[in-house]
Amino acid sequence: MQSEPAGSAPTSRAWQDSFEARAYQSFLAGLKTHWGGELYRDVVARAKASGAKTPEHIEQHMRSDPAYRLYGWLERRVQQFKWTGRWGFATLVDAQRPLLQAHLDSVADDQSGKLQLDPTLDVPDYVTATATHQQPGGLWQGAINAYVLAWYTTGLSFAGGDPDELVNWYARLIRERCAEAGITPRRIVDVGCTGGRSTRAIRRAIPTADLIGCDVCDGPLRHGRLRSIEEDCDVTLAQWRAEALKLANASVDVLASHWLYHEMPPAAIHRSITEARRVLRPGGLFVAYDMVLIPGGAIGQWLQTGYAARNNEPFAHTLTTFDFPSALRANGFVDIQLELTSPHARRQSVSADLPTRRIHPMTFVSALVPRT
Amino acid sequence: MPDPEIPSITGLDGLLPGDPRDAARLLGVVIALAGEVFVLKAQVARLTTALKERGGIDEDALNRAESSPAFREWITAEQATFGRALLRPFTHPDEAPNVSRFLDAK
Repeated sequence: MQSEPAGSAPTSRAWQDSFEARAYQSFLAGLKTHWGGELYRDVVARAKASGAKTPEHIEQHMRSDPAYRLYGWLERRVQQFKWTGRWGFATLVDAQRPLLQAHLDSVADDQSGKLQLDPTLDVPDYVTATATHQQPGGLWQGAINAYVLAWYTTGLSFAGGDPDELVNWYARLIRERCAEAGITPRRIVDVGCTGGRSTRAIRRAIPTADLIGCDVCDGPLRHGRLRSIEEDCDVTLAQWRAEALKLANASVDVLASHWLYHEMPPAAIHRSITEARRVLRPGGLFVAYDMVLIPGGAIGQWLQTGYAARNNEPFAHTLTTFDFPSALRANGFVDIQLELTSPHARRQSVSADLPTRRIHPMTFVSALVPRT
Repeated sequence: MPDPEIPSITGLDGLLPGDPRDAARLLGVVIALAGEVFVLKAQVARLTTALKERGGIDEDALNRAESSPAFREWITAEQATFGRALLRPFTHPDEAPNVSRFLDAK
């Protein structure tokens, strides 16, 4: 977290920071570093030594292993300390509720057309029942929770740095894929955008396109509108479901999603792909960036399933067996590509080896609508 | 198992003997305490750095600070907060809902 003099923080980051909050979150970051480094490597070595060949058998062998029990406990509980510990983000935001809520309320009736809220939208049960990332109340319950998430995602350490670095890299991937496909997009829709960080990044990477970001939760969209004004970034944020976009047939050039599908069950993903096909123009591009391909064989799968359960992202488990090529082909998409990728290593093979640190394995999925 | 010879009201039979979540509760308390210690160390390190850069401080000044209204106000507030924060993991060993039933979602 970078301290900012009182009164100088932009409205979207108007929380009251403190030295103690930074120190506490730094402590938790240190625990997480140990968890994802030395402890993770110990757990992987013990799992290999067990000789078990399937995730289920590995779990049976490792359930009584002290290193694994600590690994699982830390994976779940450190995240909870981040939210609800003494200097957790939810604890701190709750103490500052009147000011922050007033900021969110100030844009609720935004007349610019750049924020389209739908109080009648039924938030799907796969959102309401999961408390994604273990965030208390999730993002659908209480607009104020958008500030909790924003603090969590933009201010995690003393080191500072650009919180948009990764999302900017992702947006450049989309620009590259558009160039490869010969697309000059006029309209791009970013589904499941939360507060529109990815939407704004795509807008920065492809400034000639109109950008619409949509999500089912109104709090992050309101917060995203505040941020978009501050960044002078011309995007529209709308409260729509990825499975039911309020757009005409064949009216979109690129339909993108960033970290969305691991938060949706398979049936909802199928519906959203069908909806993507409906709104995309001939020659249009579908892209998704998420945890699809999992390296490391059975141990990799076992760790990913545990992560899905422990961090309340259960569909991160079902996503690993979701057959994107078949689902996309069934909806008429062609030139389907799945690329395990990161800013440090593009187009990796799905190795049987695991990385030396616990990281999220990310896949860039892309497919085209035939031109005719 | 509880010792039937010891009345449970004394607490001498432990907190919740045989409850497998006791370890998780206690580890939560330990980690909460570690968080307090880490923050305290950071505060001391920051203060030490500031004092060194300004030329130091003496024992009399520290004694005066201890009896100052500002310090008394701080310790009163801290007494109210510290114990509650420290012991919350015991009564709330796992604050997030169990969503593992969704691992089989279709």
